[in-house]
Amino acid sequence: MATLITNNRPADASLGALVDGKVVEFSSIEEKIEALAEAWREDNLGRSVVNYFHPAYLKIIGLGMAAVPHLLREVAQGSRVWFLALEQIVGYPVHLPEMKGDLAAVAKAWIDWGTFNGYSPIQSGPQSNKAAI
Amino acid sequence: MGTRRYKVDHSRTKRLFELHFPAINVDKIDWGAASEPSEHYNCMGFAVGVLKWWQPPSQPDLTSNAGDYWPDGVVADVTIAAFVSAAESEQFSLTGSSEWEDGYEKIVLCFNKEDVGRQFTHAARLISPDLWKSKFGELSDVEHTLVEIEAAYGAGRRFMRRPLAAPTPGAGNP
Repeated sequence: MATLITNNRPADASLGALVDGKVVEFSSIEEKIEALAEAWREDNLGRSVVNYFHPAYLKIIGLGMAAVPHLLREVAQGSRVWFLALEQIVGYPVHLPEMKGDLAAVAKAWIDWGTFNGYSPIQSGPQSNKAAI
Repeated sequence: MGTRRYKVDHSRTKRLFELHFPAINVDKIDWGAASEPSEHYNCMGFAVGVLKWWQPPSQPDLTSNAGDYWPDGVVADVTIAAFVSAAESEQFSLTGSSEWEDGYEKIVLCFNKEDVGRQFTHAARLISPDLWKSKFGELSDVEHTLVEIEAAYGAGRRFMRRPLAAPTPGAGNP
């Protein structure tokens, strides 16, 4: 459960985040990523051109390698919006230039990269009714 | 194996349309003809018939998402001019008329007239003499009038058309 921080900094800095103008401490990285992703999606709702420079998206990138298993899970579930975050965290693209725009090929490249490097997509409870982050 | 048919629950999408696009009358939408929400293609992809997420990289090789699509040879920026060029790469050409024309597909690309940068905001496809249809970001593609989307996407418009493809000999309905 997320806790609203009023005066003090979060005990674990990596679990704190400014969301909707409030500093919140989350109980896990996964919870923090989901909140940031929700904030990003909310601000991009209905937009024809999404904003990858959004603070929430940048904060997910800022989590570094800790975010990778969670983002790989989203990629495995069909999400296309986290390729850029993964690329910025890892530091290089894992897809071939000719794969750009080919969702299935880019997703497979990331899943294969994760498997090869020991980053399996994190599973988090039943997925059937879970909205993509 | 038969085609799987199921009823899509659009209740969440309806709520989001009411919240973010109050000018659109959700009760008039034919939800049976609306798509499921999808982040795999956007309004531009729906309008031109290439179901991808059409978005230019902000800076080549730096801030492009590998899941986004932008045609080769088209200037990579978010201006209405760049999106007109992108539609031209799919054989659309500018026209001054918003009216239905037999033998043509017609689309509209929108921008805010007050925006000095003339940034592209939305694209829609004409599906009948007085009705348009478009994809709202990651939400569904639904039908609407141009007036209904003006508050959200601006009153600036560029209309484009493309001759309908001639039927392929021997091709019939599946």
